[in-house]
Amino acid sequence: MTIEFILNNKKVKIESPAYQSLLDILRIDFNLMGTKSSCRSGECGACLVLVNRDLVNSCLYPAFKVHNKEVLTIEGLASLKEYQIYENAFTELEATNCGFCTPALIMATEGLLSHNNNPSDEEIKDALSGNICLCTGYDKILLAVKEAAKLKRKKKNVR
Amino acid sequence: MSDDSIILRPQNIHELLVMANEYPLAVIYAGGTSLFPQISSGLKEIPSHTISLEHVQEMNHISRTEKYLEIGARANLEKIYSIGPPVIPDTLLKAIRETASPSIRNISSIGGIICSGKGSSSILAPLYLFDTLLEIRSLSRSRWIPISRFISEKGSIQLREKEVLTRIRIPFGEWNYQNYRKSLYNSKSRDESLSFCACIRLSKNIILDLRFAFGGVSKRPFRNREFEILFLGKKIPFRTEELNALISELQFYLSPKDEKEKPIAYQTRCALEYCRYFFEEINLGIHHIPG
Ligand SMILES: Cc1cc2nc3c(=O)[nH]c(=O)nc-3n(C[C@H](O)[C@H](O)[C@H](O)COP(=O)(O)OP(=O)(O)OC[C@H]3O[C@@H](n4cnc5c(N)ncnc54)[C@H](O)[C@@H]3O)c2cc1C
Repeated sequence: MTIEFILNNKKVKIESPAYQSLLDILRIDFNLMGTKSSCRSGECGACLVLVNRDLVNSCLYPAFKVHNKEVLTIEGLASLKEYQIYENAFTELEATNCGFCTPALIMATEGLLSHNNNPSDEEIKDALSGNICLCTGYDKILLAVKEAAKLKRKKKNVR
Repeated sequence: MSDDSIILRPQNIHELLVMANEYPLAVIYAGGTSLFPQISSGLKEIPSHTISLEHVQEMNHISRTEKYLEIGARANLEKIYSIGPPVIPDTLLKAIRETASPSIRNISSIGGIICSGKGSSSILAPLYLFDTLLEIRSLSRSRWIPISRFISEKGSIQLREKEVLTRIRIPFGEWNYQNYRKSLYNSKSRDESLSFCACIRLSKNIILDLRFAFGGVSKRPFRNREFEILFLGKKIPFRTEELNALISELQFYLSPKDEKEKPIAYQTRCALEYCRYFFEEINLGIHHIPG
């Protein structure tokens, strides 16, 4: 079937089987490798992207649902100015190690901070509860998310 | 991947029912968090027709009257959670928060959970607790049935060909205290858990109503009115001996008649302990619980 959608702010059109996953579309059709393929069952969270600003597991999202939607991947986010905030927070607080899960962690952070710029620890833990990181440990990640929130508020001059 | 699925996108309930009538073997696709992994892994064949609920606005609607809360079957868990208290009962809010992660809750629908019919779902027990009703519709008829009759003892759902779950109705109750707990017992599967919920209505420390529901102890959530009635008219706090006697009674009720259905010891023990905690909390917090 023909699927038209907005990918990282650009209109795109592809032919795809209805039940191909968005994950495969991103990686195979568009060569966007920042969205990682791992468990393919929604358990690990390595494939998180934003669809119409909602965080979703792209491995559980079929092509037919992507039609007419707006998809933002880590590559799209990285092209925006405010991505610097995430890069600074995650590197300065050493919240990344092997880096495999980092793009999805940043997408989950964006998903959270876009509607809550001052989350509590509990809210951060819930927001990241679908992301598995096997090497960094979650404490530093939590601190990085708090730092990113702080930087975002500062940028917007909100306390 | 070969793919021949024709995607039907009804815009309202009437169109949906017409399509379900015309294509009785079509797959009803809500969030797909249960369906999609089965299809993409080859466990389930790609359906020839898929009816997507995505554009059926009425089924995404959440409303309330004085007596009950009504949730469209396609409403996703995050949307329900965002409505918050007091419209959404505490127990259901806690259950949603304990279910999967935001990215899954953004897609998975309450109707999909009910129609998956998994007794171990962390969301079903609260729906049993509040005597939830389900609206089931087909082109030719519409019926409301209690959720306790929707899932059979063997865990299969009572949905006939061409029928769709459209609305979920949760009656409001005046509860002085509600409680929800969940624990995972299968590390390989996050959707297999033991869940416990309870609510109590008191007047001058006398129990006017008390309900318990458990998910994960059998093929469908467990709730037993006979057991609950034992508590009516009793005064709290409970003495230790009284509490022990009630917990043993619960153990009796939790033991299924059919030996094959027996829940594993861990789940039963957890269920009993959660129930004990609930009473201990009531005993301890008696001065803080209004009523
Ligand atoms: C990573 C992960 C973690 C999870 N964790 C939990 C958890 O902690 N607790 C828990 O309870 N569950 C959990 N789940 C299970 C999840 O809740 C279910 O997969 C989901 O809710 C099903 O809803 P859906 O809208 O995605 O349904 P779908 O996958 O779209 O449908 C499921 C079934 O219901 C049918 N159906 C759906 N809607 C209707 C309707 N309106 N009328 C008739 N039939 C219908 C479909 O045809 C299909 O057979 C988890 C799932 C994943 C992937």
